[in-house]
Amino acid sequence: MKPSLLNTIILNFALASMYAVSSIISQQFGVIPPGNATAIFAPSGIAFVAIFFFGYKVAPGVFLGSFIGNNNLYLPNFTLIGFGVALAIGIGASMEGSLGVYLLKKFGTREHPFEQVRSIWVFILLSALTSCLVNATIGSSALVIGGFAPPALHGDIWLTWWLGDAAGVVILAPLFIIWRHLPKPSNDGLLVLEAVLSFIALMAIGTIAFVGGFPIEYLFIPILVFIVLRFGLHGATLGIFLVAGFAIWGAVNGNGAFVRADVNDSLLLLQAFIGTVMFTALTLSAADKERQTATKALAETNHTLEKRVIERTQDLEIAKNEAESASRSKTLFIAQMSHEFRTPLNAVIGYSDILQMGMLGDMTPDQTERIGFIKQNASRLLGLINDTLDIAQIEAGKLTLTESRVNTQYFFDELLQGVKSLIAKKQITIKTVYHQTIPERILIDAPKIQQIIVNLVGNAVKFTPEGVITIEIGANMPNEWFFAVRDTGIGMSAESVKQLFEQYTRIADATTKSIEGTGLGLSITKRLVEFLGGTVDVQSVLVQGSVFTVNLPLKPL
Amino acid sequence: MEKLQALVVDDNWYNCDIFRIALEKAGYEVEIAYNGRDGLAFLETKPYKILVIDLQMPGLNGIEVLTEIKDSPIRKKMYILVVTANAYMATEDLEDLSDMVMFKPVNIADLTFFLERVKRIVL
Repeated sequence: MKPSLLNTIILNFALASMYAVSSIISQQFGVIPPGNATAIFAPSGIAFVAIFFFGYKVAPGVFLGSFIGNNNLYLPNFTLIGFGVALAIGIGASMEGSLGVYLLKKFGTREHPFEQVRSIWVFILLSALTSCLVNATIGSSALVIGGFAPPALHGDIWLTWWLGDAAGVVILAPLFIIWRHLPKPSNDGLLVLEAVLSFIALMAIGTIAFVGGFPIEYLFIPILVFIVLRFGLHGATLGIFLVAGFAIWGAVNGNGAFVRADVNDSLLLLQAFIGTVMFTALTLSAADKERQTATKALAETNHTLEKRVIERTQDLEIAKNEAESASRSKTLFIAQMSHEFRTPLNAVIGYSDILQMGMLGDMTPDQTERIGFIKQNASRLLGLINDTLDIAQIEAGKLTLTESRVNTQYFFDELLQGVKSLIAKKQITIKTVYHQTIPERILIDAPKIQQIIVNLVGNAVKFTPEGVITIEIGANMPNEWFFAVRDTGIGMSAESVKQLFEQYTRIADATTKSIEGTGLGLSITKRLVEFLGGTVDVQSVLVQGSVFTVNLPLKPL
Repeated sequence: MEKLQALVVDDNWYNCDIFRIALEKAGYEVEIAYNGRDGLAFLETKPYKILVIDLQMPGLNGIEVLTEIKDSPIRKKMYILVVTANAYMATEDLEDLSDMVMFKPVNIADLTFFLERVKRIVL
């Protein structure tokens, strides 16, 4: 025989004997004279608890216990009818308990059925009141059909049976299910004292109300509320049990507010009182438990959130430091690269100059020309390096504004004097037009304006085989000034203008094949202008020429 | 007439060579130091009309050399030309320490023009 099966059989017999004994005790003591109706049928609670803990496999024990408990139906004078009625009641009892547990587990909370308000309602409405209709109906009908009760009393018996069974479940099930785990022992002496005092208070009120007969049952309520809030479900179930015990005691002994001439009236009042106390206390404790759970969850969420915020902040800090250090090393790299490129270029250009200038003796014209080519290419390389490093510096976000006040005409005259060297041997005239609108003095970032103009004029020279380059300087609005570089060069198509400021883009018309450059010049120009808070506009017509207009904010001096 | 004395301090041999040629062509007598420490030692030996000095050098760098002589009497009688390949050098930092800054690659025509002019300046 398998141990589990043996266990089941032992469990069933143990339950059967408990059920039978409590059934007999209920019938002996929990009875309200003169009708001897059972106010609270404890076995229905025991059956519910057993099935809740051990499952439906202990349902036969309920049946057996009920059958044994009702032995007065067929013993000592055995009749087949009595035997049959006892069988029917036994079957009803096991069905009732099983249904109650099934409903609670199906619609309530599986593990902790008394910790949620919803589950409490399921327990009282479905597990207690609805399930107990089963045996109230089967049992009372069997008694009437078997001739053990007059048909006229069928309704009364049914009602008493129903409410008695329900009360048994309602009082015993929470008590056992909750107290299956003992409360955590408390080190708080005050809490223990509170517990002792409140239970003494319950007993005092119970004694006065149900022994002394002075109707102060309602005083149970505040004490129970206090117990529920301070001691949770353990306190609640124990308190309810105590209150119910007093109420039954009083009813049985004919004391207290619930004693009426009609036994059914007494029963109804008693059960209504116990039910109300039960319902109130359990709902309150479940609501409190829910609140505690929610508070705890909220605290946990807050904690997690706080932790995450701290982690994120640290991540951001790290990312920021990394970015700053990357930016620093990038800037350092740019400066170092610049230095490393320029040092050998100094030798190349320097020696070219020395030879070309005849410092080391005269050269043939052919030699002088070729030295010139070396120098040109070295200069071009220098231009590429400068452009590339400029872009790198712009992209590293390392541009700084260095503004100064300049005399407008003086600044541009000097600047354009220098720019004339860009023309080289081309047949190009550079003209300067100052509009009346330009202030005499302006606040500008001179090195950047210089770089922009050198780029734009250099560009114009590059694309103008011969003709005129006109530089206009003026102010169209009170808070804006401009300079425009107009050439009579090869011009561009609308399509080319669109991609003009893209990095590394060089306009690949057939006519521009021979023109040199990184394609970075205009991109740098645009970035510099934007850095200064301005805009660049281009108008161009193929064959006729282009105009680049730079608009910049006019800053107060 | 006694030749004007010039000192070139640069760790790059080619650059020293180029400056030497340009200086000699302009009529200077040139001495070369390939590091800052040697440069300082040379400066102690005799009065120079012009010092051409690089900034980025191993050991004692240009700024350190110039800072060292900043308040000495040598400085007062000497014209200082800083030549640097560091295009991102902020020139205002050098205002107190030197008389002229040129960025490499140096245009020899510009350099020659400058050297001729220095010859005529009496400090």
